[in-house]
Amino acid sequence: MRIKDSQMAAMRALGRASFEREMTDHARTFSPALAATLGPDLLRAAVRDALLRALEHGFTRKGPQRLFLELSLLFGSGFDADPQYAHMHRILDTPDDQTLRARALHGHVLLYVEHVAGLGGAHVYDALRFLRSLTTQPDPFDGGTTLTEALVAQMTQGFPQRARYAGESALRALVLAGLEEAAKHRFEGARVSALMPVLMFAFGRGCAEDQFYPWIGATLADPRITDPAGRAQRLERKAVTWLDHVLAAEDAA
Amino acid sequence: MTRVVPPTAPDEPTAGGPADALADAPVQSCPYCCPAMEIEINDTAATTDDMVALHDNADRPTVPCRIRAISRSVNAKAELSNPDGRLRFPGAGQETVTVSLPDDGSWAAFAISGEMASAAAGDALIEVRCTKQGRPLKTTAVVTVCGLRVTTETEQIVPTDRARLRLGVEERVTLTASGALGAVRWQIAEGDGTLSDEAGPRTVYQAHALEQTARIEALDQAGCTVIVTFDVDCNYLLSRARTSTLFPNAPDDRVNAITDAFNEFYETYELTDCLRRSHFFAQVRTEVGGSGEPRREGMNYTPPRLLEIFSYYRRNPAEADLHGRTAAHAANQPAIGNRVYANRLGNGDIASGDGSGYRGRGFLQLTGRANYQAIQNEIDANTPGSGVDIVANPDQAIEIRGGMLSAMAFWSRNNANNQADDGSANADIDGVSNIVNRWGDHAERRQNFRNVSAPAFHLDDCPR
Repeated sequence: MRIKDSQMAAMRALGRASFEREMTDHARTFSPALAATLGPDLLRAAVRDALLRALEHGFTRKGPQRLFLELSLLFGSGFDADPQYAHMHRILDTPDDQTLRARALHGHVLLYVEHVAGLGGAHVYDALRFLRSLTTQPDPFDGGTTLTEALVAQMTQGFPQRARYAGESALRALVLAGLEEAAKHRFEGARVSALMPVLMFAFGRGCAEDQFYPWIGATLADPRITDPAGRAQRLERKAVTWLDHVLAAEDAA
Repeated sequence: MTRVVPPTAPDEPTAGGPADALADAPVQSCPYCCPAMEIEINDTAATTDDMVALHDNADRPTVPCRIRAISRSVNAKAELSNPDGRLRFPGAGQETVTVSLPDDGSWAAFAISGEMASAAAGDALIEVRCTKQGRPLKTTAVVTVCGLRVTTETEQIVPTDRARLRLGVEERVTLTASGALGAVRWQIAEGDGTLSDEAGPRTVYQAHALEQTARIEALDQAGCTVIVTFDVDCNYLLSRARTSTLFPNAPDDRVNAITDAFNEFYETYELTDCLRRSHFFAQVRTEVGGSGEPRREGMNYTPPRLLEIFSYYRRNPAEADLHGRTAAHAANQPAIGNRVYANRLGNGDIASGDGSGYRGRGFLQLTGRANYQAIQNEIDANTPGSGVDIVANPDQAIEIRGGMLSAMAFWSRNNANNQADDGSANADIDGVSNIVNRWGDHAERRQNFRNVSAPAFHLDDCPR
């Protein structure tokens, strides 16, 4: 039997579609709260995006692809370009076979979960509570000589394990990226400008485009909001809602 | 930073997944198939040479180019196209080309040619796309298609050609530009010669005596550059200018004929360096003078002169009055020749007519039937098919081409090059002179060597 190229392409597409469905189901199991928030269509699109991104790193086998998806769920879709996770980038960029890289990445993340996130994610929830407390303060970033310094200091205080893991220069790079993004949306003043760096700290460097957190990008691009200050206020309110929801669920558990 | 749970090991099957969902099964086969890419025109990172010559009916010059992946790449391919239609890859019908990129990031070669001339610098666009995943544009490059061409007397050179021509010292070459976008500017990029004009479609370049290499550039307003490189060679073709120096009284047509004849045969007879040429032309100049005209030996003697220099007439004095030039009649030159050269130098008796028929002729005054035959044998051996037969037609030796060929053949047959190679001292000149004409003190030959031929060939600057 002779199989034409077009038939092979169709078979590959069929295989990919089947795997996407499988991984979408897996995402529901791995991050049930997030999956429920997104709904089936957005979740499927976000999963597809993560799997395509995995391809760019040479992860073509199912195990490595699944790991990449899980890390996207844990650290944000853009974790592979997030300065906070430079250690992971180094593993991704080694010339080793994908299975070896995936194993190394898996081992690294197990250590991260144990030492940075803490047992049951205890350090993470502490950090989220700290961030939530900042939202109640009128000028939480007035303490440093510059806004960047103040943000780095608050991040370090709020999530010291992550700060040690990432390193100060990575946090500074993250803050600068966040302030740049804020400037694009004409967010002015310390509190408003700090919003984007804080969101990136919480949801990852690529949160503005992250399909797992579509409300961030949607609010930033919402054509009905014309006032930058109003947009920032709306975004902060959504973030607080999200934080409250997550922390309430954790407290209930 | 939400729920933090350990990720699944990459080797484990997915919990709740299908039974055949092996973790190491491939999902699809296109890893790294669309990497970032880099392209270089003319195989260099510089953009100043990103040009290709416009094709013409006879020729389609190509320019080597290369492309590579600059991020992780596996089985990646690049599709190159040129939306403005000025380029081909590189055949006339090849409007696109697909290049496989080496996985290790090394370069892959391709080539372009010019289909339609540029209207402005860099207006030919190369688009590089992946062949998969929606064919995203990965990189671009711009090229100028140059209509500019430069023609010399012997060559046509286009941009990106690596033309290298030979040029004799002080030889002049006319360079004519065509197809340029806007005005053409000429410049000497290397060398000490002179240009007749530095702007305009035509210029004349004259190589300087002391330079070894000359590089002339023609630039048009699109930035197209034609580079003509000359190896200035002391021992290359004889130039008309130099022939005029050797024979200052020769008319132009004779200068041209001497130049052409020498250049036709000099390699065969190994007159390939300035020392040999200086010796050769010192002898020729002595024999034929500044007019450069190869002559037949004159026999226009008076009776007293016949008696003085020829033993035949001393033995037969009555015939001197009969054949010699007097007030009453002209000299009977054939009769004189037949008598004074009868039974000598391979000639027959008086009745044979050989004496007159094979009297001295040409640039080195070849004399006697035996010598004519020996030289003809040399010609036939070294330059068969030359069309010269001085035995059957001795007057070919006083034609420029036949005379030059027979002089060179004489030179070769008598190993004059070996003698010339000894040097340029008086004794060396005399040694060569003895081969050509053993009689006399050779003072004139030394003088012609010192004052005429050695300076003409810049012997002090390029002795070999």
